Amino acid sequence: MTMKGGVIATAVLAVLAAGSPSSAQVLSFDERPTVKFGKSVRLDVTARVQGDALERSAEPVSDDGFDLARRRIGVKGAVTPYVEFEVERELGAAETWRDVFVNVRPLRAFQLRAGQFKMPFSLDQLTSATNLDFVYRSRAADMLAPGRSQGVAVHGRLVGRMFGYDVGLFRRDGESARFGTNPGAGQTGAARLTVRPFDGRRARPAGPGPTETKRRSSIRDVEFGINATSGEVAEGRYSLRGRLTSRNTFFAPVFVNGRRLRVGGDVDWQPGPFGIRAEIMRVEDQRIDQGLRGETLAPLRSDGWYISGTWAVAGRRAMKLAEASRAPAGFKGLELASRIEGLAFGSFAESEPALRNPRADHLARIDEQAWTFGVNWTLNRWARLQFNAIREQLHDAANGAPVHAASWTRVVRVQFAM
Amino acid sequence: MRYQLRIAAFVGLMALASAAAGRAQDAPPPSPLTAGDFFDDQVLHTIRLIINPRDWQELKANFQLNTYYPCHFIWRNQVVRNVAIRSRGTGSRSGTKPGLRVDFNLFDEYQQFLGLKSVVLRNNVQDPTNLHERIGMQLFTKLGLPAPREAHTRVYVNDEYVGLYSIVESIDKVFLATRYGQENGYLYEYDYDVDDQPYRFEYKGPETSLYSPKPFKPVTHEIDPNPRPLAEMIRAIKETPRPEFVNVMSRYLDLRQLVIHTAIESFLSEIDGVLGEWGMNNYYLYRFEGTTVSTLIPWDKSEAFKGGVTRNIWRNIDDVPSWLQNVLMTRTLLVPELRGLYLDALQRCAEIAAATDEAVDHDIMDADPSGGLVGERVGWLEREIRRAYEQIREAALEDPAKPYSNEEFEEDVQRLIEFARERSAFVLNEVERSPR
Repeated sequence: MTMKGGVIATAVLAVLAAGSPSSAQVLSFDERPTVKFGKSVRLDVTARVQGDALERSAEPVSDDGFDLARRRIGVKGAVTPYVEFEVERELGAAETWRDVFVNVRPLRAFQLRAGQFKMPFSLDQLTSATNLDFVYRSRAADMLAPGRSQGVAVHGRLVGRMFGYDVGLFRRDGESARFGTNPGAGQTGAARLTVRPFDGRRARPAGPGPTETKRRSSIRDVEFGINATSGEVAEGRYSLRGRLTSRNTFFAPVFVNGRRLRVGGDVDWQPGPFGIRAEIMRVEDQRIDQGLRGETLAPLRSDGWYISGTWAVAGRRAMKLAEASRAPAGFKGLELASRIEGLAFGSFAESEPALRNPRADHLARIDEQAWTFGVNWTLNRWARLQFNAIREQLHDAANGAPVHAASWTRVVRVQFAM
Repeated sequence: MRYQLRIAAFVGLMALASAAAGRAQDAPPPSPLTAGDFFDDQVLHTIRLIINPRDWQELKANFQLNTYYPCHFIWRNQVVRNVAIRSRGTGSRSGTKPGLRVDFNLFDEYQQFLGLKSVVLRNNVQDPTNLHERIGMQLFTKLGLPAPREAHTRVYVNDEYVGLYSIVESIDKVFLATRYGQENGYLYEYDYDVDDQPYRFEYKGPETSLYSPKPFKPVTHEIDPNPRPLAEMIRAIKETPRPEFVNVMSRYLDLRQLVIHTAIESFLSEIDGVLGEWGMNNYYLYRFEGTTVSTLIPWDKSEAFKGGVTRNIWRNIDDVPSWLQNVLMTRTLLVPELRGLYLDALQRCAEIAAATDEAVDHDIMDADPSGGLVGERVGWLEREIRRAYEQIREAALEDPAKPYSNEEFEEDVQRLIEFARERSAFVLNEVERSPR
């Protein structure tokens, strides 16, 4: 989204606001500053500040110390019950527009969104940074999922919340695939389907007891998702890349040409005080005519996965109270979290041994495996503390590749969001 | 009878065949190829690169960048896969005939080719003869100073002849190990770009960042290049009182080696070396393991010989204002012993270059200089130039990417031969006239 687009969007909102009689304006501050213009227009001011204190065991890197990871400000709201909007901008050195979109909702089952927003791929990537269970997204979501782009999408929920769909067409690949001079894929289609197979079950009229009721309600929260994207990548060294949380690159882009296909699946479940998430995804990049003699190479396969779990120490209900509390919530908002994950790049071809050069037919697989141990402490509805200890290790299948030592990252995040 | 003759013939043939097979079995296997074979300057080599055509075009289009491209490298029966090449050079960078750095271990840390981690394919676009570099380094070697080995090669890219190149041994850990028996000292490349302020060992202050990574770019120990001894050496050059100069400086630099190195460059009429016209250039500095003592290693002699036959042996030492003098060399040559060594080394260069008898080359001090300078016999330098010229002539004439004409090639070789014939006499005369 260009600066111009963002300014226009903001201006439209201002005009809408100015058009309402001033007598109808109502200012309130519940979770965040909200202005209502009559009965049909609402503006919420959003802001988010995240600061990270970092320490790494690997070679000295410049981001050791304290860093303001995110400084975002925005507005979101609605004009009539049928039109919603959101504008968010990143402040500071990386100043850029984030979400800038309008969502038209004639029906819950059929909604149309247009502008810049996240492409519907990857549960972890689609989770707001404010609500992540860990300081960093999974390596798979960070490196392989597309993230934001500009486009239009139709989405909605059917049969209550049992089925969800989100299908969009985007001008180009997501921001995660675009870095440096890498343009990512061109026009990209994306689709995501979700199902809560137990959500449509009617509750039994006379429950045998609280335990049974809880078990029944928990299983109803299970959600499965599948998603895919497809786009064409121009010829060049434009594949995805692999980076550690330190942003050190362990897999540099290789030459690709042709279709980029992402497929993935996920599951999300919150049984009682626990939360379980798992996701798997693969990105396949064609490498047409990319060999040293112009031959077509085996496709690059980029695989990622994670399994994560959380435990709300004082229970889910206490956690929700903490998240809603204006006052300090004490230890109600304490949560433990752990995640194991992997991210790998490579190709398979019998024509040659596994090599590590950007035109190798048989790209030696390089695999990052990581563990994260975390403590989340929701102080109240606006403030949150997160501590993560992350262990990362690379496994390189290239001939004669060195054995990589594991590295540790310790990070404390202070978050204020409204 | 005919039947018996057939049997006899058959038996005879079998006997011959088994004898031949036996000889074949007894023959020793061919000796494995070595780096020495690769740098053998007795032959004109052929190197083939297999590279994606788009990459080759991109390398040429973006020749100012150091972007690496994958390729196969083929020499004789050796096919090395997983090799990386990039454009290289300073003034010699070219989009028509790119100078190339070939890295055997970029994609695979442990891959080597005949024990080499990398090699340079010099394009010689600044030298129409293609010979300056190779001949210049030969003289360093003859004087006993470690210098990169060189040979000429035709280079083919995807089976298309792209030009005559020099194969140049890289100055890296392999070089250090073979020449000094160690590789863990601190190696710096003197890094001079065209836009850089000329530098002549002036003391700029105590901060090490004033000296490294510019102009002394770390080649080993890149993460912790420890330039402190370097900064201290440069301070000592400026501040050490004259009587203590040799003692103090010997803690930091092999002064005798420095003097001989500079004398060779002076004999070669090098205009872009330690005493270059634009400040210092074209050498590496190696600090030996566990010491603070460094030594110079020569690099890039493409600008050698360009100063001409009559270039003053004291050029940029005492024939320019003090602010254009090399501080180190000026102070070094104030020491009578080292000044004498400078003149001796120049004389030795002249005698080697003029020597007509191969045996004399190894002990020039016993030779009769007049024998090599007059008469019909040809001196070593001219012999080497002629031999190399004959070896490369056809390849040079066919070179489709050279930035000069075939006539310029022939004329410059002729000038080089004239240099070889006349330089020794000129230098010997200057040495004789110079006070010690």
